[in-house]
Amino acid sequence: MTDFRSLRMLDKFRGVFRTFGIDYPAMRAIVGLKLTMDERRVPVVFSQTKLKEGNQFLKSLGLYVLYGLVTIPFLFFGDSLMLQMGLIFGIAMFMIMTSLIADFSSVLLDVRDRVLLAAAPVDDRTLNAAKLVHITIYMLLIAGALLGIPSIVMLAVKGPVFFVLFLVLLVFLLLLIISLTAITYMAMLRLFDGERLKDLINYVQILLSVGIFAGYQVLIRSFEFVGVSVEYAFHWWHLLLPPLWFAAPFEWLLGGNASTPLLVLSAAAVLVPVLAISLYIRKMPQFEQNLQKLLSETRGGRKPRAFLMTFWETILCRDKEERASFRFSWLLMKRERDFKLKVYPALGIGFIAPFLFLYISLQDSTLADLADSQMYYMLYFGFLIIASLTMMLSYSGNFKGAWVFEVLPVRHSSLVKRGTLKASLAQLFLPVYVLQAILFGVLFGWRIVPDLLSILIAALLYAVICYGAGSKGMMPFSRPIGEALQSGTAKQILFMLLIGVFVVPHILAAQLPYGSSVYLLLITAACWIGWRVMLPVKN
Amino acid sequence: MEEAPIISMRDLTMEYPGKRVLDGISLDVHRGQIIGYIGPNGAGKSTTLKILLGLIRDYGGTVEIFGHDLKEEDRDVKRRIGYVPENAEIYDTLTPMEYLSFIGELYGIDREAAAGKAATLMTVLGLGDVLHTRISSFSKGMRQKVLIISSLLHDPDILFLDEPLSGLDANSVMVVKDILAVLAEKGKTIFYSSHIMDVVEKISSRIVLLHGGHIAADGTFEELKGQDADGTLETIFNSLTGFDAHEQTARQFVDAVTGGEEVD
Repeated sequence: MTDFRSLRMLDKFRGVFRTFGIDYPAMRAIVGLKLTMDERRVPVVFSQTKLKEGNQFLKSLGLYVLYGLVTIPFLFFGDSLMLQMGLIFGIAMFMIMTSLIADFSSVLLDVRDRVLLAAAPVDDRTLNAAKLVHITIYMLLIAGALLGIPSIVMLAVKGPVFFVLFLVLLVFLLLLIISLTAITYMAMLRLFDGERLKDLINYVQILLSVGIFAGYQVLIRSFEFVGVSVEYAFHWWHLLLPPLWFAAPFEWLLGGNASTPLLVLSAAAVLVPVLAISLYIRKMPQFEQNLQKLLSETRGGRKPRAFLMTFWETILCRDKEERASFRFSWLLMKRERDFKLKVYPALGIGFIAPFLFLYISLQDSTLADLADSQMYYMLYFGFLIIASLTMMLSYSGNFKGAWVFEVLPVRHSSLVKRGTLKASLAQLFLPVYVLQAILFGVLFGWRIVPDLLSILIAALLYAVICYGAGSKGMMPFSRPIGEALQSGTAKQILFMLLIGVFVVPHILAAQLPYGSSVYLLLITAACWIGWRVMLPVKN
Repeated sequence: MEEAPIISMRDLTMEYPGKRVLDGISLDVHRGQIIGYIGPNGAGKSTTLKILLGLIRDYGGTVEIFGHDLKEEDRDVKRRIGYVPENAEIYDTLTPMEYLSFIGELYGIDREAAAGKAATLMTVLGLGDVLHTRISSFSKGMRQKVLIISSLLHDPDILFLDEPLSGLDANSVMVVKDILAVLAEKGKTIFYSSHIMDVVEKISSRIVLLHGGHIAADGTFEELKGQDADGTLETIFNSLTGFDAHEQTARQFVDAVTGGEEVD
């Protein structure tokens, strides 16, 4: 086992842990083991593909450095300290909390510890402290990557006092984040049981990953709306925004504004984290007890009604094997958390993208101009959903179950794949597209209806090309998810470029009289042929 | 005249890069036999099973099931085979009913019929109250039962089982053992690999011991015992695989545990 630098740093605080009644050598050993495992925490399962060795997390830190650079402009922006620092702390809090929930929920909610270490003479308190230290090490790394460069800029531009104040408040912010996350989980653990809880965490993760995308868009837009020199004015709801608590001491100590609301906010910046963390430490053993719920077996459960599934299955599938595969895929996509975590954010982004680009190009024209324009081609940006959706169809967190496909007397693998692709389009793509099409229809008027249909049919053709070409030799849900990340990117880019091939003929055709309707016929024929070529069913 | 064998292997060889796993296996299996297929770890048991299931095609020699060469297209053969894999891997976000209906349908059974049969089989094995619970919350034994049911839904003629009893409690082991015996009575052929010797000893009508890529022994338990009337399958296994150092190994191990002190 390597001797980690972080552990040697930890040794300096040995005394602190002892006073809390924690068995320090045991805790150090546990944390050391976890760090070693993290270095190998790569989901390599099938031997033919070996993912890169090393701590994947540390490699992803580079991305956080980039994100962190975004905060630098805020230091020079306007002259309200409250606003500047509020935004910076806001970004930091959001980024760190997201990664904590997305990547470290598994650490916080790890139940194997209880099974494997409970037999050894380690008490709950030490075990939980080890968890806390483990997470804290990573949080410090993330915070360092995110805010390292910005804080150096701060030191250079705003001087040492500002810098020190920032570091101190950052510590409190981290305390708040950890305890807030842990307490949230504690509450959820009390209220829900195993499976439901895991679903809930999954949704939080998905929401947050869409939130990053949306949040950045909003942030960038907010530059335009917020004037350059705004005086900070207190409103009562600011008490509910933690980033403002942390910004308040700057306004108070450096801005010289010692009004009561600011003092209250500053006090909250220090007191709330301390209270939260002490609450967490006090409730820790109970937390560990409740974790047991994640292991619990739930009996019973009713047969779920599946109206939509049955409806689409009857309409879309003729063949018996195709139908079986349709249902199987529909249910799997609905339930599998790893799959949802990868695909749902793409759905959100794919939904927003056409509107976002529409908004950008709208900036110097009016709504009336828009209604006469050809901008409805922006809908093709929605194809981004299909590109990532079809890629993910070959992967599953449960991929080892795929031996059944080898043993079953399947007539033709294309039949199974057709069922899977149809299920994915009906369940995930279609609802998004219909909503987009309705909104576009409202903006552009009836005249674009043939084009909306053409785009839908083009989407079906695009989907079968992406999936047919992308899943050569792979049955649905038969590969480990980790593999998707590394082998998928090149194909993804290629498929995205392919979207352009669909847009150009459509634009050209629409210039001609009756072009839209003729194009609709052509693309329908192409789609009919495309399905037969890409997923052929021989008899 | 004797019936034609259901499974017939002739000079079966299999080579992985740098290692010859099967080195000329010839074996005929007849209708209604329960074959206990045993051997040390790495002897080639799982490889044989995979070849018989059609998962591996690049073997040497010939393998025929129902007189049908496995190198050819084998969909009709697959339809008459059931398989329980070793590690209870299953799409566990589904409920047993969803999984079993899917499997049944791909075996060509009607959805309604498959669901009805699955529900009956689940209920008989004591899983009637978890028909609509996700498999992910199941214990190893419960999963194993679901897999056993999934291998039998289409009423196959041959059943391949890889450690079928792992994770099952003592009562369930009895039930499954009896199920296998009754199936064999009805003319089904069962090919079954395991490490649990006393189970193999009790239920197999014929035991095949694989060692170093060869068949080291083949016969009923009585035949394998030969003169040694007190022998168990365990001792036969030890002597045939040339492992007689177990006592010595055990002593070394305990000495290391206790630090070499005499314990009384």
